[in-house]
Amino acid sequence: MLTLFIAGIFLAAVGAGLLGALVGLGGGILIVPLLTIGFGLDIRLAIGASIVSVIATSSGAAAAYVRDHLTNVRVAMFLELATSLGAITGALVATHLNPRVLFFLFGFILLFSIVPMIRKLGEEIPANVTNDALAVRMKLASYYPDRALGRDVSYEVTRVPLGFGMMYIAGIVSGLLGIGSGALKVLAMDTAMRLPLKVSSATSNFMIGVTAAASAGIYFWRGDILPEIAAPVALGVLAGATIGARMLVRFRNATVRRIFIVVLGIVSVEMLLRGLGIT
Amino acid sequence: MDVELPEQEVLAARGPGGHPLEIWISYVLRIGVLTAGAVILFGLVLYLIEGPGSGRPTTLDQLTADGGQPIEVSWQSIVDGLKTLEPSAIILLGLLLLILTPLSRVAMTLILFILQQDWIFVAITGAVLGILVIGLIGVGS
Repeated sequence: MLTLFIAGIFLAAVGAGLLGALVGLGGGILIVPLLTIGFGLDIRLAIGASIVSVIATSSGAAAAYVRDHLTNVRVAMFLELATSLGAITGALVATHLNPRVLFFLFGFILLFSIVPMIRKLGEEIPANVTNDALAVRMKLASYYPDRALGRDVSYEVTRVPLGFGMMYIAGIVSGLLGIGSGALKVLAMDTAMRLPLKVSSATSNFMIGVTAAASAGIYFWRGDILPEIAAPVALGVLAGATIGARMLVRFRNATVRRIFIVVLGIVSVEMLLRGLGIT
Repeated sequence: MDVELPEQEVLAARGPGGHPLEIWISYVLRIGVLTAGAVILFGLVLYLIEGPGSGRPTTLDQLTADGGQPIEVSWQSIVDGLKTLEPSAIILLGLLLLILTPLSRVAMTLILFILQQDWIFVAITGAVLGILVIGLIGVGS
């Protein structure tokens, strides 16, 4: 039975990683609902298993994006100051919270992450953006090769302090709930700092690993990362994400997105209800 | 002499061996994930073949009672477990390697910024590395 249970977790994690990769959200957001609602585990242990799987998928994907020069390493490094501090804050706060509060917050963040999937945020390449003082000082402006346009696109970076503040919150959410909080990170870079969408997505992915690593150590030494659960989750999500990245070219994005939105909607309501103590 | 490089050249600044900064970071990430994944897989296979080993639940009911219980974990317990090839200790080692992957990436970035003599980013990257190290050894244990 124990072996079957572990095999079940592995297969579910493959599915989560696959679906996550197909819509570009990372599978992390599905792991906690799967382990709690699906496998009846304590939400703290689910968060512990999820946070290490987030490191695995983010690092795998980041390796590819960095090579393609889509990631702005300087912007990422600077904002990681905020996300890593936030993540430690979140992980420390999480122990003092009632599990029901965690369920509720998770459901709420899930609902929130659906919004950008329905309505695409910002412009593909923002116009009329001028570097602010910090961006000039730290030389944050850069360029990226746009394959669709067939040329290099240069861009400037603005409202750096606002983006930094939003990143601290994204870090707290990541450390608190064991997710990458990619949606919040993209929001900070896209709407506040006005980076091109492709750069925001790649840079967000790059930062997720560092953010997750900041809180993962705390969960690890606290004993919330159980080997027999974290191992199938990490390997499963990694396998699923790898397969998903290969399948991406053959799938119609819109269809997958629609399925994913429905799944996320159902899951978030379920998590909210648990938070309210209704189910 | 202080020379202002155009934006493009700053970004394509080369690391050791003539590789662009990005390629090096990419290597570190890929090697880290592959190594950690291999160790975790080895531990899990051993777990499935030999059973949970000492100190871990042997039945599903024990594992999932009350949603599961946190484990006792310390450097000492992991080292002791590794000496006797305890499956859970091997998995925990792999998970630690996974957590260390982003840390190595930041350390790598720090070296590259030092080579570029970009002192603002040396300070920023050093601070991030400090926060990560504190998170890993300071707060939890």
